[in-house]
Amino acid sequence: MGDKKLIKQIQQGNSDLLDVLIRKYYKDIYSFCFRKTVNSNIAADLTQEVFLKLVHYIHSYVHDGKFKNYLFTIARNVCIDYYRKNGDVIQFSEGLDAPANDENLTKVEQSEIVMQALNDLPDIQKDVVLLRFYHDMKVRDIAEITQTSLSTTKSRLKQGLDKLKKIISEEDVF
Amino acid sequence: MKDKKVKNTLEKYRVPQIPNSLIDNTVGLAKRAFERTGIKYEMSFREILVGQIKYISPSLWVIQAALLFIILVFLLVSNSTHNAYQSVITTISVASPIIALVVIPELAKSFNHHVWEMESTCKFDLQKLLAIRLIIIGALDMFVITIMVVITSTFYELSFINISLYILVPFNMASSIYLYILRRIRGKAATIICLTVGIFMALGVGLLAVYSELYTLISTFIWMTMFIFSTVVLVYELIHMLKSLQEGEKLEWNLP
Amino acid sequence: MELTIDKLSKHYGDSIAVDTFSIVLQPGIYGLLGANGSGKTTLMRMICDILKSTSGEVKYNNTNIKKLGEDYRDILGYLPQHFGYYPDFKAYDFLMYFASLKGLPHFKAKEKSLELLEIVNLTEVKNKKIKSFSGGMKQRLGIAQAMLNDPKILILDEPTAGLDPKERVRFRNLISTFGKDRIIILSTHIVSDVEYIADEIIVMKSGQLLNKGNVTQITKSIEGFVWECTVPSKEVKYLNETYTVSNLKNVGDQVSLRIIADKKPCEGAVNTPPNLEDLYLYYFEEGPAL
Ligand SMILES: Nc1ncnc2c1ncn2[C@@H]1O[C@H](COP(=O)(O)OP(=O)(O)OP(=O)(O)O)[C@@H](O)[C@H]1O
Ligand SMILES: [Mg+2]
Repeated sequence: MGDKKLIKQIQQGNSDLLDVLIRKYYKDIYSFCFRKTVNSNIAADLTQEVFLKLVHYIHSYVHDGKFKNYLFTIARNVCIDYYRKNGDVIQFSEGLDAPANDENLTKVEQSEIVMQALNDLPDIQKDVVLLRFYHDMKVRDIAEITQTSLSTTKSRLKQGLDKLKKIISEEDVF
Repeated sequence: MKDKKVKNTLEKYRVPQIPNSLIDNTVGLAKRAFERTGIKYEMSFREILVGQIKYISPSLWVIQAALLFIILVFLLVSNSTHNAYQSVITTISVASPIIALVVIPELAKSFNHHVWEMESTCKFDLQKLLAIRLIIIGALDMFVITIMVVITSTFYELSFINISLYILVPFNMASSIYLYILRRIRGKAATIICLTVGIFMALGVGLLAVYSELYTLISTFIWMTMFIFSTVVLVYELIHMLKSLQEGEKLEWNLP
Repeated sequence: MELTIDKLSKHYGDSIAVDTFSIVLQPGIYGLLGANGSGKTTLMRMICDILKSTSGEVKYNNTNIKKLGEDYRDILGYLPQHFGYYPDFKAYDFLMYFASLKGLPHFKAKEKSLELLEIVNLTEVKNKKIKSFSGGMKQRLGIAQAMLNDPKILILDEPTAGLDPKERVRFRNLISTFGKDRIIILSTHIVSDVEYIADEIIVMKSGQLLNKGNVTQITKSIEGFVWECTVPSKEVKYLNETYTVSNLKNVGDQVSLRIIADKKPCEGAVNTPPNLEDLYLYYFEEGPAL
């Protein structure tokens, strides 16, 4: 079932399909929130908030073919709110998946380097990079989600990428 | 460094697994929150219209299809008769009051089956309901008429405009008369009277069409005027009928 | 929430079906009692805005219901005294059809229709043609229809007609559980249908409001008019012809009678507390249509 039909039936009162809709997008939203906060507990909390907000707004939602954009807009706003309340500090709660052998070690190392590199980006660039590379979004959609013009989005993406390339190429684990 | 390489590198950054219990938890909470919100869903007019199509009596579709089939047979057979022109004119003239007749049982059925009292107290009341039924059946009629016009103007040397007028003028006039009867006469009798009047009208127009010169003698301009006039009358009758549905008293077509 | 009926009248030529009827209804269950032709149906039709009144008006929360239009119908449920169905309809279709006219979205319509079929005990026959139903089954389907949109105002014209005793009990339970925060009006000739579930009884005669109040209040008005006596069977015929007898049972070769009369009807008669049945007989002397 497409999003349009799903949402229409949910608006008609079908709560079982709300279940389907949430599960369909949970991982997407969760990973976005995780990369924004680098803390799985906080990410889970924020993800929950995103979906509760969705429930709150769903009756007035008008489908224009881009539900994913709508959901990510909520997600981004929830993350922004979180930082506004809790300051701009990233709390590292845990290391990434614990390694067992050499091969894994490099993997974790690589992962941490990328994480670090992303966190070094200013938020506006980081959002664009996250949406573009981890959520496979078109620049036009990213512009809609971040509520900026197409050209601004493009230049943010470019700046972000350039910085990333620089940081990453300084490391030699890749 | 290429973008592709960046992408590959970025992909090395994985997000830890989320326990399913957390997802279930969120789903549960969301569902509970959802059940507290009231449904504000408003059906669009299109949805209401489409929703009513399946409640049109199945017999109407069957009858209309059968009619169309018979008309087409007559139209195609006319080709081999010695006076093809007259035969075609007769067919379409007889057909149009009969096509218009199909709507009548459908409009009267709320009263014939005594469902109108319940229908009148629904959000979309009897007036809206009958308007919707009229739209659906009207569209069906127009579809049938279009097929007739297209077939006739392809196979015979008759202009598109003329054929349309020859069909639509008697169609409008017949429809107006039926609506007038429905408005004036109460009870099941109305349907029967409509049927009788319809058949006589078809015969009358049929006889008239035998003198098919009449059709060509009358100029297209006059046909056009008749068309406009009959359309105005039909619209008047439609509005009148729908208005009368609003006033409860006039609904008492079928006192128990 | 308040439904105000303000000097409502309906004239048919010279005859008056409803005569300057006024009442204010708060949430609760109202039993409308009246003999045949007393104007119950006419009144209910006007409350549902499907019959034009000759004078007077009906207001919901102080707004004329004609002005409310669609918004009023959205909170209204109505079961007419006589109702029909389209011949090709099955029970489930019937409810889905009315759900669509009541503006229920498809999903909700399905959910509600199935729920109500269960409540009125028709789930097993939901895919059977209504044509094949008994009178009582049709009546239950009609009741379900009226409740589809969860109405705030529910008007049922003789809802228990044709129901067997078991279904009557089910119906009473249904209405008393449904009744919270709603205005429910049901008309009947059968006193026991409303005696225990109605918060208030409205007695109507010749189109007029005769009496209203809860059962204790309105039966009080005929206190002292109900008598009980035990007489030899040969006297029964005379008493029956002279007075209104509301109950009669054989006790050995004697007969015990319950009589409604202004004065003591016979030697040894004693006053007993009146019930609703007595009241009905008192007002409509021809006797109830049982
Ligand atoms: N359309 C009408 N034309 C003329 N008189 C009518 C009409 N409808 C009702 N009446 C009259 O109005 C009076 C009240 O009728 P109504 O049907 O309201 O009574 P009722 O209390 O519902 O009776 P019942 O218990 O038999 O259902 C009756 O005398 C009836 O004959
Ligand atoms: Mg009645």
